[in-house]
Amino acid sequence: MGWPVMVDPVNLLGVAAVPLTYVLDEEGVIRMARLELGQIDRLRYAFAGEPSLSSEVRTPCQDVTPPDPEALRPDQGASTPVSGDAEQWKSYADTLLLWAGPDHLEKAIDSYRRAVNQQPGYGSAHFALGVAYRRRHDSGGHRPTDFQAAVRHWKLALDCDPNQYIWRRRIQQYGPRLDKPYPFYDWVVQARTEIRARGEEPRSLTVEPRGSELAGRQTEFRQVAGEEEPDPERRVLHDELGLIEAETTAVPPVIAPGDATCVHLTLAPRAGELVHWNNEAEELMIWVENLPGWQMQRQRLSVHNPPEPETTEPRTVELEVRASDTALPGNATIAAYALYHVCEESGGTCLYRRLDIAVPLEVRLQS
Amino acid sequence: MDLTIGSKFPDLVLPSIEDGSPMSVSQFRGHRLLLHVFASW
Repeated sequence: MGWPVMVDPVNLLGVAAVPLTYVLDEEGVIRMARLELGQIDRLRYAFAGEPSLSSEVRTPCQDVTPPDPEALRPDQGASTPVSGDAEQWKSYADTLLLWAGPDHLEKAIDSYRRAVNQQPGYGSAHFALGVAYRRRHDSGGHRPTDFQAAVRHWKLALDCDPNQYIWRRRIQQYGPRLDKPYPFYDWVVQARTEIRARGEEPRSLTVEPRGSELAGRQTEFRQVAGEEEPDPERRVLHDELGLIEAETTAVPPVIAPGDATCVHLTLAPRAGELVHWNNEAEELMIWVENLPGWQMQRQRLSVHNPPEPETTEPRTVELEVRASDTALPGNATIAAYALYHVCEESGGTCLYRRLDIAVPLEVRLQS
Repeated sequence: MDLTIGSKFPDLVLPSIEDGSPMSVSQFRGHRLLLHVFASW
């Protein structure tokens, strides 16, 4: 394209809609704003009566250095952390997020958290904190709670400013699958199925679709009855070696009594080692315990094994959960467990194990 | 941010989409600019 393009991942510009077109003069002053591209001929009026500049195309006339994050640290030089200013902590966090590299995501997240703790109604800080968590979720240093944290802070951002269209669309793109206008994030699964069906091996992705494919609650709640619990006496041995890891996400994570949420459970072999699913045995089974007065769309879920004998892909199940009409405000935990066949390494010992899972929720009188 | 006619465009330093190098509107002082703000969904 040849045009310089700058990226603003946390909307520092603060725009609430796109596209927007501006005309700037040689001093950087805005001469025309919100120019529609169909009205481009209005440009002639932007500098009417002024001498024209050279039409020679020049490269940028000065180099730019990014701000030094540590120069912006609000508590630098202090012997103890000071409360500081929420905007200062956000500016510091923004600089870390943009310029300090993935190794400083931890610091960026901590600084954004300081900003929102001091100013709970700081919408742009909540949005940026969600972006930071989402970045860490996609990075090698991700934690199981990162995506849930991103969802929580994005919801808080939109609670602060429900008309921030940029946030809303960006959350729709990188957050849970709420009302996608197109089945974009389903195509990876479909494409892989079609590619394997014709005897080819699909290429691996640098980043697997994670998070955006998670759905929010359905509008209609239907419950499956009469399911049999697979291990009621807890006889299956626990996965003491941690061969399989679990992540949980509830969308939304905060619900009112009587409201429903969509719970996603993702299980995957421990990364970086040769641990894999044993697909020549029983399929992955998950059982979700019911809380008194609560309703589960279903309690018993399973994931069919792929045709290959050994795989390492993450496996996700989802179910709707409805809180009791008389649920008390506070934290609630849905208990579940997974039963699976897993092998320690290629050609190594294969085991049948159980993993206990806790799904944290919060009940509030007004969600 | 003030994006009204007559105000100076914010002097934000943002990464280039090509290589992540720092860029700013202030690099283009002396030029008249058509600046288009867009998003990819």
